[in-house]
Amino acid sequence: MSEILKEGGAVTIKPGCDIVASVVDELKTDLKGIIEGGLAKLIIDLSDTKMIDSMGIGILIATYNSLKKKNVPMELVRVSPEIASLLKNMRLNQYFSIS
Amino acid sequence: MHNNYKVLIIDDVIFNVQLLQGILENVGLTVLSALNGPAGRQIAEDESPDLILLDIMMPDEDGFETCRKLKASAATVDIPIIFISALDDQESKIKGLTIGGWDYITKPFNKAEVQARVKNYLRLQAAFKQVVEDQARRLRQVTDAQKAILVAPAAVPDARFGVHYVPVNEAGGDFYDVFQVCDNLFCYFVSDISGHDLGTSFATLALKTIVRQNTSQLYSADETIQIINKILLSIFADGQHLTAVYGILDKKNMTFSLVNAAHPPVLYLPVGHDPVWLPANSDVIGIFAEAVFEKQVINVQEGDRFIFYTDGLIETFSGKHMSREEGQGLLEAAGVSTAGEPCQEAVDDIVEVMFAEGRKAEDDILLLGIDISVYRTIITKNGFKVIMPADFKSIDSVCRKVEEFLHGEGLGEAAFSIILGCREALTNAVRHGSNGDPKKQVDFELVRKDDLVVMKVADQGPGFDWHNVLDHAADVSEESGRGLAILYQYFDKVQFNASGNEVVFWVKSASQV
Repeated sequence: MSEILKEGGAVTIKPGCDIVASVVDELKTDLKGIIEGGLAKLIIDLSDTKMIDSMGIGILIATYNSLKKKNVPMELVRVSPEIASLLKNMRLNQYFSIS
Repeated sequence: MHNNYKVLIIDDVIFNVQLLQGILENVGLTVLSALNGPAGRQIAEDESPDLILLDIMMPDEDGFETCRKLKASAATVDIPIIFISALDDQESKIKGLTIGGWDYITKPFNKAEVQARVKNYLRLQAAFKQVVEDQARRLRQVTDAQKAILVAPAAVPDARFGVHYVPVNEAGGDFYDVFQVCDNLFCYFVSDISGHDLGTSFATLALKTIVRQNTSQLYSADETIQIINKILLSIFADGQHLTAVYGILDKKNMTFSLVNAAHPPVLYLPVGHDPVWLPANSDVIGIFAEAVFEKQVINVQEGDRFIFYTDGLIETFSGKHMSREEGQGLLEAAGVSTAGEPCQEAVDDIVEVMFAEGRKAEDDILLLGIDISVYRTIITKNGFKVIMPADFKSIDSVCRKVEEFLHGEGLGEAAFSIILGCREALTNAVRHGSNGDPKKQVDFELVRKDDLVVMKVADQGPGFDWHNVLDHAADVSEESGRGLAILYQYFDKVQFNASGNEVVFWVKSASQV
């Protein structure tokens, strides 16, 4: 179950687990709810995430695509060096900020 | 659908067994029975009944325990269980249903209720089995179809590739294809589609068609991937995407155009030079409308090798975690140490190294080795033909192929003189016949007829006055005409055509030990 924190227009979601096939559906529901609720910025906190599989990558990009239609920026924070390296190798840092 | 349904009754009270037996046989069911849990479980294992009626209150092993044990055994886990008990309390019902029971029948039995419930569950179980069987059949069809669409190296010999592909389950997300686009263009494609479910498998089937339909000499590699991205954007949903490496080898211009779309880096092993990693230069495919795809054009030469693979080869091995960087290091070392081996052998050896020391695959494993080799091979009835450009770099490859052929034919002992002759004749054809101009063509043919090995070398040059040269070619130490001297010394018969740009030589295999 993700932790969701709203501060002003920014929403921070912390999945608190690896983002893999088994949790993707639940995370998708959470993210969909956040996007439909309206926001100025989405921050995804990956501090407790050690692994992201291809389904997890898919949901991150799909979320970015949904937010882009609404001109809402997306940011990944507290990303482990290994995941950051994977995302940068896939050039996803060209689309959303990774720190 | 069978119509001889078997119901097993497990109850320690013989009166209950007989009563239920009568009720069920009355509607045409076959009844088996046991008076305690262990005996009932044994019958369930041996007879595979379609349904079990299980009493809860039994001495020693109660019905809950019997149920747990039935559900723990692979042979009986799928048999539906209906509990029978005098107990009508809520707690027992919930407990029974929690540990795998489907329903309850309470004593005293109502004949019509027992018959109706048993028949309903038998129907439900039959439908469930049918669904499972249908799904398994469909899954097998998908697996078969996936395997059928994967091209074997022998099907496109001039593509010069070796491959190792093992999907982690029936519905793998990795995919590769290799095909010839036109005379001089060859396409190599390796991809990893997100997910490992049936949807992924259908996507791989579609992908083969999409890649082939959109690859042609009219499009550059990046343009093709751009088109594929547009098509997949309209097909994929819910974050589905793929990473891929797409390479086009142009044998005429000796270039390799590469698009690495968010895929792990390609390992390039240029002959005589240090290995080079070619990281992603393009975006993920099938998910970004505004994705950017770029091609990298590499000038290649005879003997170079490329290694395409998916991430399952270099990371996360069960029991022994390995980072991508560590995996790449291991792959590079394996690639370098196998560089001299034939492609398929090298591919197999690399996989062996990657999964040595107890490392086990957790994801699909796909490794594609591509050898850059410009000549074209035609397999004939008793040998092969090679059509090669007139450059010196191609000579080694042809000689290696001759050596492989001779070993395969059990003529390893004769190889030395035959290869010597082959090298001399090809060198003459390239140097003198074609002035080393790679735009010119040299034809080579080798045939084995019984104890004879016959080779033919032809170039497109003007030829030479072989009658005249032969007079001066008696000594192999002479610089001029040495090649001819070798041919005459080592072969039983040598024959030129009239214009001197084609030579055929015969050797008795047995005499060349």
